[in-house]
Amino acid sequence: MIVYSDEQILKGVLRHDNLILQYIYKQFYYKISYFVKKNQGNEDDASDVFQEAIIVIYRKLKENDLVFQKSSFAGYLFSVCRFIWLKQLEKRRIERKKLNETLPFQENLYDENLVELVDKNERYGLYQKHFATLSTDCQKLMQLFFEKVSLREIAKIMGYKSEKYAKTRKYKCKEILIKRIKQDTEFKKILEDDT
Amino acid sequence: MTPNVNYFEQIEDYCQELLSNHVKLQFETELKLDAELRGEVKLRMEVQSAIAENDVISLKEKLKKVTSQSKASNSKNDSFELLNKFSDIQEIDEELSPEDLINLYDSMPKVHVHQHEITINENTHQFYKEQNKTINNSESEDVNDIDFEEFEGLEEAILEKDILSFRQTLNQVAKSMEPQFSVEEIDDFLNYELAEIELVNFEKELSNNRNLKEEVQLHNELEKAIKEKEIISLRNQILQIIKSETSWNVSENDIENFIDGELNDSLLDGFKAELQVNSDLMAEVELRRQINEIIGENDIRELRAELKDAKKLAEVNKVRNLIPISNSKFYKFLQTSVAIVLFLIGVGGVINSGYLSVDKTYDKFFESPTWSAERSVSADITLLQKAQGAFMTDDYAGVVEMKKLAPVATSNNPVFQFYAGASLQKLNNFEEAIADYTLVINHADNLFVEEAEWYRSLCYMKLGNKLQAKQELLAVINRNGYFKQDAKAVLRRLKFMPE
Repeated sequence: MIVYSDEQILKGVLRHDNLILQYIYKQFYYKISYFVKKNQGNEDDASDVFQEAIIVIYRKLKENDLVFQKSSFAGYLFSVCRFIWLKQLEKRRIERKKLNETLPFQENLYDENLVELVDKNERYGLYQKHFATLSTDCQKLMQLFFEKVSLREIAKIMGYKSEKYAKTRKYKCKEILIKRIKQDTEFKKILEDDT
Repeated sequence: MTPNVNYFEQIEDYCQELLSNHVKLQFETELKLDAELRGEVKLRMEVQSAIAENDVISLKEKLKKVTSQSKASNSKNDSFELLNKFSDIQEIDEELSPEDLINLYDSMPKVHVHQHEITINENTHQFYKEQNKTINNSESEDVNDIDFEEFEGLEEAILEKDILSFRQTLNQVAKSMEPQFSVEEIDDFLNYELAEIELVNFEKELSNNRNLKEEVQLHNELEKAIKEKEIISLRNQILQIIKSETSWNVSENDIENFIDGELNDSLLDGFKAELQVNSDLMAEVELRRQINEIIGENDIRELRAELKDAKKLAEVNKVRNLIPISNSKFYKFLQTSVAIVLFLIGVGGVINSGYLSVDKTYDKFFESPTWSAERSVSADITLLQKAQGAFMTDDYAGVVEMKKLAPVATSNNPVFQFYAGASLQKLNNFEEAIADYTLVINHADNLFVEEAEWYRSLCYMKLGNKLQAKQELLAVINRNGYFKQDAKAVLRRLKFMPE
């Protein structure tokens, strides 16, 4: 079996390389899954934690903010996963003292920067989840708006009769999205955490 | 509420009518424009008239009213119960000079009452007042005339004052929680599309209103989150991997070797370590062990499979039957006979082993297609008819020859290509058969695609190309069509076939 170096893995994550992602999954997932299951989680929780940890690493890489000095990719991944799961446990009001430490982790990685990034990732993930539940029409329309495409162009692309209608429709779509986000209990928990 | 210092003197003079005509005119113009000033003048005048005893009587009446109301309704008034303690104050019966009044009364309660009158139009006050009104109204309603026996529980419901009042409160709270700015306004603010006055108002509100700040932040973050297309796609990609990939870090060979007790010592420790914590791997090892046990029961499994195949064959022939209905009894008999013969052959086959060999699997699952005329399409009918005749009389070489000699338009016909492929397969020319089947599959817009995939997978298997065969079989399974079960069976056998 091929063994990839940390550098190859990071480059692979950055370019969404399917082979590298599969490698990471096969190599590390079962350990993460074991940790989560040993600490009051289930298979779905484990896959969520794994997924979000990779996204957090990707965000770090994009910001050019990931250098391994004393750590390795595996160590970093496990530490991020552990941190994300601890946060979930806190949200679920589950006692932290009873934690089964089956993953090797590095406490020094838990800096303010990581905390902020995980929080941001959580919020953005929630928004993106609800965005995906909108009709394709709404999704496309909102993306065009945010990409600063002109109203005239948007009306043309979407087949609307006027620019005004495009704008009104966009407000409607956004209103639905915001309503759904606000109704989400996860969002309420995030707000509670912030205050 | 703090008046301009410059006006202090003028207010005083104005109240005492000491201003000259010209200054008075100017002051009144200012008064019309400045609500704050108006309020201040009004207050001064009222204080002045109170000091001049004009208002003492009316103030006393007000106090009396307040005292009696607070006794009756137990602090349900408009002034936030602030006047309650006035009931303790001894009422004034005798006439007092302004000096006495000032000495007797603290001027603050008077000013306070006055301020309540001013603020009576404010929201909070209105909210309190409305609640109060509801309670008073419900109290004042004459419920004696209603025949409550006709409406069971109505009396009880009406008398649930606390619930009624609570419901009102909830309504008011809900109203006050509604966002003050619409999505449209916030969007316009973020896109710099608000008019100047609206922008000033918005920014003023934004600096004081925490809810609005959070709302604007949500809008901002939402925009950024939606723009993160690459993260959305990465998340989907990971999800797909989780769904489709096995989560163990060992090869299939390692699992097989582990089950057979043949795994190298160098790999064994790692394997065992993963097996302890990886529940998916545990399940896979267990499944494979069970499959091995089942495969050991050759006779029972073969018999079961042959029975199933015989039944299926009879059903297939029903579907593919091209014989007119008048002859159906005869053909049913024929089908049943064929099924019985096949069944007997199958049972005979149980005696022979070699279940997992390529040849056995191929022979078991390869059934030559029948050329059904109704599936053909126009093109060169004569040549196609000739080819059909040849195929039905097992002249496979003839079909291949005819295709070679046919004009391009006819030889490119997917019907011709498919049966040419089937003929080549019959002649054990698997490579050329694959080429013809590929043409049919790539054409895509015809009725033979699934069959072509199925027969092509068998060709690959016969050629020993397990990987291609596996991919082809997966495609057939995904189509969820007629060959799905057979494809699954072959796929299972492929896994355990020797290299």
